[in-house]
Amino acid sequence: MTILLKLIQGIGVGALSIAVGLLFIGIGRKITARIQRRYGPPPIQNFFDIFKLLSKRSISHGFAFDLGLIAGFSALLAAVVFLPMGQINIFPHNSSLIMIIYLMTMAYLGMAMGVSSSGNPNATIGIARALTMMMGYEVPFAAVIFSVYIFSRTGSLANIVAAQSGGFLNWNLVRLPFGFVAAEIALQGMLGEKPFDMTIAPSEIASGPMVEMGGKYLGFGMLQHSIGLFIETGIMVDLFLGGASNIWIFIAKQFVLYFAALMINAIMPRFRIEEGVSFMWKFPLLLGVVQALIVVL
Amino acid sequence: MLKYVKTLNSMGLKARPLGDWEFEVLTPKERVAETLSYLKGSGFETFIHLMCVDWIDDGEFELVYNVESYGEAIQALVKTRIPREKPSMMTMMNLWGLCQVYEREIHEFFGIKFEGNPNLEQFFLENWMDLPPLRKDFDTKEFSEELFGFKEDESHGIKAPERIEYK
Amino acid sequence: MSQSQWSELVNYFRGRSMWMLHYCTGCGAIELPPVMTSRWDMERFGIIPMATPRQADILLITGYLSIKTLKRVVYTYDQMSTPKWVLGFGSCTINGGIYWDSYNVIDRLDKYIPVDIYIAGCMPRPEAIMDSFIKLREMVQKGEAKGYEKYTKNYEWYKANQDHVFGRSEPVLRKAEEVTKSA
Repeated sequence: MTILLKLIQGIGVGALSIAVGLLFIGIGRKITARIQRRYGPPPIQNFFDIFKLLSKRSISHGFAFDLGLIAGFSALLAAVVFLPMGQINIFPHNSSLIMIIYLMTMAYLGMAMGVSSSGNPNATIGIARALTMMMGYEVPFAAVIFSVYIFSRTGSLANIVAAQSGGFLNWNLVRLPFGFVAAEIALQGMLGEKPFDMTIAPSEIASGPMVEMGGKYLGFGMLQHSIGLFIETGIMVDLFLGGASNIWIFIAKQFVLYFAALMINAIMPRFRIEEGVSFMWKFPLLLGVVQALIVVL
Repeated sequence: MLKYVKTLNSMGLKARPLGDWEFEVLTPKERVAETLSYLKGSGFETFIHLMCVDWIDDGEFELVYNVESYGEAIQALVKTRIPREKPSMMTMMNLWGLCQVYEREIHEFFGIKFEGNPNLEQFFLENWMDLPPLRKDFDTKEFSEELFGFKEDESHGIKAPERIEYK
Repeated sequence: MSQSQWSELVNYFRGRSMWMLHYCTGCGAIELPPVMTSRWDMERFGIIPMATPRQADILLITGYLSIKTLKRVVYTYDQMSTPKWVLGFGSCTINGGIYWDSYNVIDRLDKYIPVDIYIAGCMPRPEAIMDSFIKLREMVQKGEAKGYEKYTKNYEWYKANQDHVFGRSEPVLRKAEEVTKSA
């Protein structure tokens, strides 16, 4: 009976993360349009897009293509179940941050397997860039996680949230400011927003990994992107913004982080891949190491 | 500029200035290589392009080699006429390597054969079997109507699709 | 929910989200940046430019098509997944425009792939492009834009027309034998 309940809860959390992620991207498109002095699409435009994509006929490129995309999608769905969101926490004793990040890496690897089997060179270049970029931002992010772990003396996201309870001054944002800045820059790379969007550069490599995806496959790609957005901002809220007492505050805090990323996205040009990685390994890594040293000493 | 015109005239060619920065040389077909190598030796090192004019009433093609001296900022037009029947010309690739591309293009659009040019295959056109299209006796309107023309019931033996009436 | 209501719903969403692949052959490409950016802003109708034919719903042909580019356009159209629509942009796609008697520019695009909407003009203004997008949206939502079904149904006819241009095995004009003698 408990298992059935958990299953229903898990499906609900997955649907919630998809809906919130799609709404975030839609609002983000509207905000970007207003910055560029355009009227912009309605905020629910992404739901129209998803419905249309799932109703199109689509072309598969073989078994590995299907399998890779489904593996990536399901890994992200599995990751979102372990994320503590306000009072919603399906596995209170099992929210290890390392496991969530491991599952997210699985998603990227599944995607890599899928799109590489499509045989399009642009897709291979795009996914190679995505994995290179992942190597870039995981290093400073790991340094930040290290200092948070030592500071809170726990590896569970739920316990990290609990350790920050009791007001704004207890948040890790105030206690570990260098780590927050480093993690924020790494978040920009994780979301694939503007200075680090060389993965899906549309005019250079024809949207990279998505080049051979059409119809339902592209729809699943968009859903994957929206869940990824939800998890990445959610981890940041749990790590630095003190979690939340209920789900609405949690989503509001996520949106603040996404809004900051959007603002940077709207005004920045694009790095080349080696510039992006070397940037990630200089300033954010330096800040992360400084933060770790401060915590250790 | 006038010194080149004078020298070319003394070589037995017809040369005359066309303006402040350009002069033309009329040569027979056999002396084109000689004229061009003289010009190249005296500073006209840049080959700009090769043109062809179809003088259909005279029954001749006119080839125009355009070279320029950047040092003195003047251009020379070396003109020669060849008969329209079975037209052929020797290649100038030993003077300027890029003549290969221009000669290939002229061969494609006028059908002039350049002796010594190793590659005169089709360049811009695909699967072309008619007259070279820029000749004056090529009827481009008739060709277009024949190949791309449209009649509502045109079939190739297959019934044309029905028109969809939009409101 | 009955079958027709469901297809009405699907058509409504398809009309609200149309992604466009612009095949910029001629001078028409220059009219698209104002349509995309802040002056006319086609994103408010859910139309955004896409990078590859797999992702696109609309194929926008901007200008004249030579035989070589027509071949690529047919490949591109075949790669797109249904439902898909074609917009012919400018006089060149209607009857050849100023290239009506040219030896290597096709005259009517509708002979080779089915065109749903023609935008007349040389050049059409960005307003005309926006108007055609709205007209296409109305047609899609009413279920009238069926060019892709016409293509599947009459594939032999379109294929014969394409082969007539691509796969020539003998000279088009009879005079050609005289030339082979002289050249």
